[in-house]
Amino acid sequence: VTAAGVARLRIAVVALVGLLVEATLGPDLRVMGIGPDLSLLLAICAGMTGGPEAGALVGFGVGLLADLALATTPIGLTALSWCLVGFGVGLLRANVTLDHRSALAVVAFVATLTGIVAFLVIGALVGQSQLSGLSHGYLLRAGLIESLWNALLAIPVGWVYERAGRGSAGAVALRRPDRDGGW
Amino acid sequence: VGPSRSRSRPSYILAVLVLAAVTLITLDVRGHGNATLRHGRDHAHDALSSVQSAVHDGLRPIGNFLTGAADYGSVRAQNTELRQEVAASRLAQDKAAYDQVQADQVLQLSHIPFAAEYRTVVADVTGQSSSNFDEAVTIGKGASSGIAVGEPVITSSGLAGQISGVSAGTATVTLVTNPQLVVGVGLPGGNVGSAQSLGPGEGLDVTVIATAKPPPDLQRGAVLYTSAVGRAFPPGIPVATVSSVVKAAGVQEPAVTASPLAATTDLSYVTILLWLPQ
Repeated sequence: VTAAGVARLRIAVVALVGLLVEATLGPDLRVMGIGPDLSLLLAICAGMTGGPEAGALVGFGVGLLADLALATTPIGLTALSWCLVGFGVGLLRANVTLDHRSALAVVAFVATLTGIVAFLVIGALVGQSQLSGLSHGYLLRAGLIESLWNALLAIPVGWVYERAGRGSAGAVALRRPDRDGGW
Repeated sequence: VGPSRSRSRPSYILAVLVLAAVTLITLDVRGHGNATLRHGRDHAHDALSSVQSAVHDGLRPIGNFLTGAADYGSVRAQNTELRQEVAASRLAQDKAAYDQVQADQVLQLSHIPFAAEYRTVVADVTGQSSSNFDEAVTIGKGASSGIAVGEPVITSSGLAGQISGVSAGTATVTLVTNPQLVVGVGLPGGNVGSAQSLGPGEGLDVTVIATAKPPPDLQRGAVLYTSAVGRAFPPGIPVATVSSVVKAAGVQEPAVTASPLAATTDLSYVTILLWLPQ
């Protein structure tokens, strides 16, 4: 088994554990009725660690698993939205120098907001009335609190993900000669 | 050729993934819940529901213990044995209080006046959606208990939602706080309307559909009940109380908002009316 294969396995385990934590403890972490979205955060971390390809693949995978746990939105909607966000974050990571660790929190905040907008817009395009019927007040509250949650969790989740992804093809490609991986 | 192919690979993968996701969405939306996808989702809900129950059961004693420990600052100087004794007794007390609350909820659900004429099933809520855009819960009873899609779900306060998915041992309830659920309500003067959520914590938007003249004279605090019109719900179930009525100049029907009567944020038990839409 190659180092990249082991890294892929570690990433799969981190993603599964993250999704289980979200499904079991997520509802208890709500502030003003809004909780974090670990599946989206995993897609963001994948893009930051492994670039656009890893971001898209992990975003699609965790999004699809999250879709299976949801009840009222079509399967594939979260997968599509998170895949696009992971790809976008990966592109940013590959083309812009983001050396400071706190950059991840900022990226997580902006990318979470973008992900929510993508989810709502694509959902409305495929006729999901429960998404287009939400009031502006709720959308603002959900967007801000969820993004703040994800920005807060980005540092610890990113730290775990970075270690899991060490040795993966994307992480190796992004590694700078003056640093031993990471951002 | 090498670097160019390497640069285009992520775009190629993205295109394949987008195509796969769009195909899944199309199958699910246009195929009205494609059977394979539906079964996959049912199995995922069953599995998640078991894990969620187990995790919550496992964490409750730890939470109670931590709560007890947090309240314990004033007796820090006492010996370890005494501390453990107090913590254990507090744990037992918390457990008894918790059991009492659960028993009271089940007792309340078995004596709901507006459900008296229907056959009912009481079920525990085993899972909650972790998404902020999916107002639904999973309950621990399903088709094997006679539950079917479309049946109303109530608490002792009023309408909580509607069954939107069923497997053998579990069912999914779309909550009244989900904008997907539109409830027909009766209004004063023989008028009818529809109530639809604006999002969790944002209340219900009541659209007045005047079928009689004059338009309804609604007052703040009035209780809205399900209407027989539309036949999606049995009539007479309390849904919400009117929280605001705004009459704009030149518009006959007032703009009405209402607050759901059933508290959906912390549901433990619900009652399902074994009544199918007509």
